[in-house]
Amino acid sequence: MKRLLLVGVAAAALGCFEPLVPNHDPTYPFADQFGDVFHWPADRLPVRFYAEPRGNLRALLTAAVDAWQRQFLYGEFSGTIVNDSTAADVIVRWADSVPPDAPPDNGPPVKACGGVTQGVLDSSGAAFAGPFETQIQILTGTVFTAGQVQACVARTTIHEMGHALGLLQESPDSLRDIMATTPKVNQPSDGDRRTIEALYHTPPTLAPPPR
Amino acid sequence: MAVDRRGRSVGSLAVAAAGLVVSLAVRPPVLASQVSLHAALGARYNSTLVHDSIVMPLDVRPAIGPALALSSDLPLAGPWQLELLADLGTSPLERHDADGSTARITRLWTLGLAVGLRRQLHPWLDGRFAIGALSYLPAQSVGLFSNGSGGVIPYGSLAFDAAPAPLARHHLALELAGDLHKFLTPALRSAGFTESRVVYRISAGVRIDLMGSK
Repeated sequence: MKRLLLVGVAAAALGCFEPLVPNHDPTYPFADQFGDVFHWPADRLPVRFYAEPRGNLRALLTAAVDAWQRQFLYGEFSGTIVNDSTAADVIVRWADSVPPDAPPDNGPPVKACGGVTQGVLDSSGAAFAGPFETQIQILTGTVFTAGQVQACVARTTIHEMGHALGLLQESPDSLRDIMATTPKVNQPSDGDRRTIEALYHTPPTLAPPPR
Repeated sequence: MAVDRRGRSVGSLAVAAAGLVVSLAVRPPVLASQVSLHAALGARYNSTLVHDSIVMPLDVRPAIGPALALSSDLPLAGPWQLELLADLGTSPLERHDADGSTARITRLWTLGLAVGLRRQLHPWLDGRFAIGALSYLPAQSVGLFSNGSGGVIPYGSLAFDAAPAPLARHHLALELAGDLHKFLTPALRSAGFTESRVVYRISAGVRIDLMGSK
């Protein structure tokens, strides 16, 4: 009996060991220029994303949502792709032309595309009035291969979804972060992860659009 | 080719569990008369799996949930019995923030297989210690389990069964069990955790003699 109890006490002592907590400090600001903070609250998860059916935009959007979802350790964010734009929280479209589907180029990144994400505040200025709208644009004027364009739209879709999740500023780290003004990496970096983690544990000042 | 390590670990546990069942089913008649089978059903508390601080401190731990254990005892020399144990538990995995809010992450299952020694401590009290392998089986590969569950984890457990006469007459006993293991997942390691956390689980319930008990 004593031996068994001793085993239990020794085991309990082991349980007092506390591992070190890693650094989760954000590496760039996530509030907008007015200091407002937005992220999707827990009662609005999963966030509903819609991609127009032209080209491979749905696949690009699915990969982008998945890339961001993987950055969270503790269930702070989840997203789902919906088929109806009227039931979406985030709507993604091509700005004009649709790029041909091709394997993405693995060479040095080129700026073959651009993107913009817009959220309009309601009259109170404290909540978004409607769904976020994202446009992905293929740049013209310089000739790029189909692979270079696909690599660019994949990066840009992840970048724009970062804005839709609440990263309202660009990262100053143009080499490492997907949220740089012109992203050169294919996935969110450690800095992107730390910044969006901190965002989703910061009380927001802006409310999501009504459903 | 991607290798699903979690699937392999779970597969190994499943094979071992199947082996245990088959070995009991095809046991020799002499041994069969000495084997006893038991089930235990109870509620299990889990300590914190992860303590972290993102802006504010937070803890991640499974909620209190049901636990089911099946065990088989074989007599050894002296007062000892060899015990083979299979243990299944489930509960929601939750994040507890410092402001008091709670968010569900996913449903979590655990499957453990262990071998141990049991003996009578008093006429109404048995004690048992065991070592084995434990696997976490999240319902979804999300969050801290997005890159797998960390494979099969060694664990040690201790249990006491109290069977006062009124319960013993009905082949029942009250069981208090606890176990310890270390916890770290690949996703946590990627996020900067370098050391496993020691996790303990405590369960209280009822143990039922199914076959061949004293």
